Amino acid sequence: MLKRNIPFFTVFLFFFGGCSVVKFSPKSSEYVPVKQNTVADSSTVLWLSKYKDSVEQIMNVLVAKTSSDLLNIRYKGKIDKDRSTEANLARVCADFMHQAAQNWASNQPFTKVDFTISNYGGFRVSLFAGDITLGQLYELSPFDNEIVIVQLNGLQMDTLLNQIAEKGGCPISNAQITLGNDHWLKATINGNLFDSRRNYWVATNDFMQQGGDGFTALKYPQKKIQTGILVREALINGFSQEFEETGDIKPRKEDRFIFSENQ
Amino acid sequence: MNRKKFIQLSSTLIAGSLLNGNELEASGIWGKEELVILHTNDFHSRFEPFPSSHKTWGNKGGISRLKTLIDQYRSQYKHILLLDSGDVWQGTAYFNVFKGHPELEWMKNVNYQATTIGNHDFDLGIDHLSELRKKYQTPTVLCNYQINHQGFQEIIQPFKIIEMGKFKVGITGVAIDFKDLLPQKSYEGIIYQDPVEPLQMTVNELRNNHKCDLVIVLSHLGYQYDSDKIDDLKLAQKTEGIDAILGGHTHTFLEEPIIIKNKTGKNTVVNQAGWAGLRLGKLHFQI
Repeated sequence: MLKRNIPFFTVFLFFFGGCSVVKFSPKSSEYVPVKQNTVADSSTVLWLSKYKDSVEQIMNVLVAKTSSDLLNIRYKGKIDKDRSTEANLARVCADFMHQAAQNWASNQPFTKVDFTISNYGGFRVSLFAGDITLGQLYELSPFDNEIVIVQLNGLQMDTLLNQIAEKGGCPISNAQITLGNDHWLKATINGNLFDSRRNYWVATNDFMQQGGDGFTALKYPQKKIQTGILVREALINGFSQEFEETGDIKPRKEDRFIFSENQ
Repeated sequence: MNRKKFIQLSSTLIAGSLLNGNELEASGIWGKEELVILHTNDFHSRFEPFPSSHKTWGNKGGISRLKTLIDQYRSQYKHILLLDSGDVWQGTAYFNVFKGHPELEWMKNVNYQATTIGNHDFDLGIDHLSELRKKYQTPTVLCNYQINHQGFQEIIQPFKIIEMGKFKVGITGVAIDFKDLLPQKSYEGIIYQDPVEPLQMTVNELRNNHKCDLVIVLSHLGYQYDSDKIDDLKLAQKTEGIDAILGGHTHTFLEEPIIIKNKTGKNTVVNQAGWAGLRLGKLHFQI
């Protein structure tokens, strides 16, 4: 009997010992939140302090105060209709970019920027009611992208407006656009109805201008001017100036996109 | 025991081994071992907790607390891995001031055993990324970029194998298509490939040639898209031989790990731990 048990045991070992089967344990797998009451590791606190001190010098400088929450929400389609009365950070940022581009352009051979367009991905965090520090504006706009001004002809503008429509809107300033499902229906730019026979000056960031986020209409403009102004600088100036002048940041609750029921 | 009886008995035992693995393991004869995977993604330079004014994440996060949790699990479990799925930097003034040094120094200090690359890791260019990951010896795995850049080549391994007790773990990574996400100059010298095929080849190599019994994929593709763009869920369905895909990019907070049927009907776990060091993903495997 013993002799015959050997092959049996070999087979047994082959199936149980030689081939390792890994099993996932769903019951013990979980996420662990990093909460306020989690004790801070003192050696990490010490290590971080060598960086923290110099970063805090930048981070803690007060730039402005806001009485309303400025929310970083991507308003799209119907959501925009329902929530358009909420203060929208994207509108504030687009306005500050527009101001910076216009100021810059006023010292140049051409005198104005028709409108400004940005991408939602360019603005990264919400700003809640209270202090706005320089550090928060670095978090809002961490990238070193600069403002560029491009001239587009009517056909390129038409393509750009359709690309905006396909995305269901994006941060814009000094324009109002009525959108169908994936195409634009009506556009008012700088107070006037869009005219496909003329050229338009559009301010944007260099990332988008190079075709980033799929805005290919900006890639081969009639003319392109680099301002050298970082988007972040434009925002810092915008926030600081508006706060200085008005003591607050205007929440910008108005619609910039109208979503048409009739396609 | 005659031949017929022996075949019957072995068949029963073989079937038993396949169907009742839990019971046999629970008997303790074969010495069950456990491996715990801790993972993060999209840290984005969030060294500090969010400020208290933040409505959603006020006072949450911060690496000093994260370190406490990691240490705690390391003392609790014998076999533990710490992994990250990309976008370690860009997002706070720490990155603007120190250009990524503290992020990778932190990863080295806390001993991440494998990481992959996210799109924002290219934000200061491929040369800078390569130089810093070399300096801090950040273990980086990635299998779906064709690389023709010497510095980047030096920091990338297609996979990494880690043996822990009875576990032989194969870890690889998949990174995102940078078109539309990055200016061309920042990724000169690399070409993105759809991840399904290169990943399957890498997984097969880990399973068949290296006899890994646990295969983990670090992904910066994103959790889920409505379009046909590749994501972690689609990747899990289109491949085989993968135990877990640990994702990033979409900053997805999952309530629990998602179990997907892969190409051959077996389970692949998909998980993602939000972003900003607000959560630590924790997966348990047994052998």
